[in-house]
Amino acid sequence: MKFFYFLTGLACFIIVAIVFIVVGNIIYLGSGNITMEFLTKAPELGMTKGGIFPAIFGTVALVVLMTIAVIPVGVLTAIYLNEYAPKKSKLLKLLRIALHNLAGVPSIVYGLFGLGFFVHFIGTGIDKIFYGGNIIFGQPAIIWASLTMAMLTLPTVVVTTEEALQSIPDSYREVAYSLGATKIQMIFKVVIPNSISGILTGGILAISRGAGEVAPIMFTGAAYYLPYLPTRLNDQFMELGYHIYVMATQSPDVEITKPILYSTVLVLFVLTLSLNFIAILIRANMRASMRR
Amino acid sequence: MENNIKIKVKNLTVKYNSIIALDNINFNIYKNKILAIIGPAKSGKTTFLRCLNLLYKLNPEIKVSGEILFNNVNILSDNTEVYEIRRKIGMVFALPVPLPGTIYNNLAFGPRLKGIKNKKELDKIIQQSLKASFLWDEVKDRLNEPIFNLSGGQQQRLCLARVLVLQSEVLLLDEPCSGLDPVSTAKIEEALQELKKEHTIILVTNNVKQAARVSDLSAFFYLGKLIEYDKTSEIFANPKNKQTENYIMGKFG
Repeated sequence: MKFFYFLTGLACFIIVAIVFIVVGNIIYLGSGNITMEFLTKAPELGMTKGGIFPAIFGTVALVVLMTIAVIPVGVLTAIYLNEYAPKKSKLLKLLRIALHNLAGVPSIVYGLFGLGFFVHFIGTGIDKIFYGGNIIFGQPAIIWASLTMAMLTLPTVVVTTEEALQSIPDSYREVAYSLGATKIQMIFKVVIPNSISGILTGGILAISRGAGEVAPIMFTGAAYYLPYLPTRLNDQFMELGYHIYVMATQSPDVEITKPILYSTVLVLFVLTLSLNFIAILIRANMRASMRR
Repeated sequence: MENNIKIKVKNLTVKYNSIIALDNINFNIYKNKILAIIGPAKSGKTTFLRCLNLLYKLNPEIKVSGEILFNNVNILSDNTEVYEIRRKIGMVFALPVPLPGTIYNNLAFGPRLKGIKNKKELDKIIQQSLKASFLWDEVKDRLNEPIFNLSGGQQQRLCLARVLVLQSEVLLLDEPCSGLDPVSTAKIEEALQELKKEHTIILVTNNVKQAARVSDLSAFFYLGKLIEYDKTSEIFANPKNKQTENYIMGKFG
């Protein structure tokens, strides 16, 4: 018994230790470079001077666009699966299998799919119809990268939302009906308000992945250096994760870029934490107001 | 329809998965009276209630045939305005089901679904309903508190008030006191006696003694059939059917 106690305690210790070592290492080697200049200016002189502001901006823009795309589709899908689909239908089983398989697809595959489908098929299609063949949307763009990321995170949002919906007891639904509610009223006035916490959890998980994944955006919109910020949907963008990847693998002068690399990692780390934190705050706020 | 009949049940049969839950039920439910439906489990009592407020429609496997005439109109027809009927025939479930939120919001939920938003109007009907379920004095200063602060008995009275706010004509109560202590039970029974002056009440109960205390008429259901239906005083003093007698005396159930 005592041996088992020791073993489980050791496992916990190892996990905490790993987190401390990794985070500590990043903070130690990266915090030196964090200045206001670093955070607010564009890079200069081949990434050896200046800052990474465009990458920060690009990452936030990407996550925001991705969230706008994935949350409504994910939540509505989950509502259909849980509230509308007949319980024993074959379509339901098929949808669930598809969803679980989608969750296991490697992110690089999503990246290639995004390139082939969004950039080359939809993008060039839009160009042919609306822009007379000029290349406007048929190239890497922040809109395609966001949509690719949205597809990546869609299964997570659907599954967490569905679990949240399933946790609402059927007696709540019956009470709503017995008071004269239509199905839509029942869903939007009883089920959703009571499962908003679970829905937001799905959103938080999606955001975390969105800020961190690099493979899906590599071919669909991210760029290493741009002299402008992405202001239109068909602009390319700089992104922290992608920036880290390129700096780590293709830097001409490792000695100079290594500290910048660590600082960029630290910034990405803090940014992801902040996005999560904001989402968690929103969720806690909603939980508190439900209790009232 | 004669003046004092509120609901006329004609040849009501309910089947699902080849089980016959209700078998050719025929009887009249009278205005401003409390009807107790008694019988052992699986007799079709709850199924019957769920036919009256059309809640059976939530389960697509249930097949219903026959007619239920409410105010002379058959509510089982396809043209029925289902949501209106559910407001006119309100239901209180066996366990209190408080919707998360404040006491006030629980009570205002029904009217708000219908589109009533005027605060003064809501306040007025809420106060009336809370008084009618004998709960007003206990919660009048606490309307903005979460409903979970109330005891089980209070929550169930709240569920009753929640139905009264809709100004239903008929009240269906499905074993409403099964989870409650005797004091709360007594309060609800007292409320029902007052409420029958303005409403028609159907009370499903497993508790034979409660039926004897509270109701004017009793119907004994057994395995989906209506076995006996009479004034409560008659059924309990002189049951005409042997099964009724056995059930009332507690020989099975």
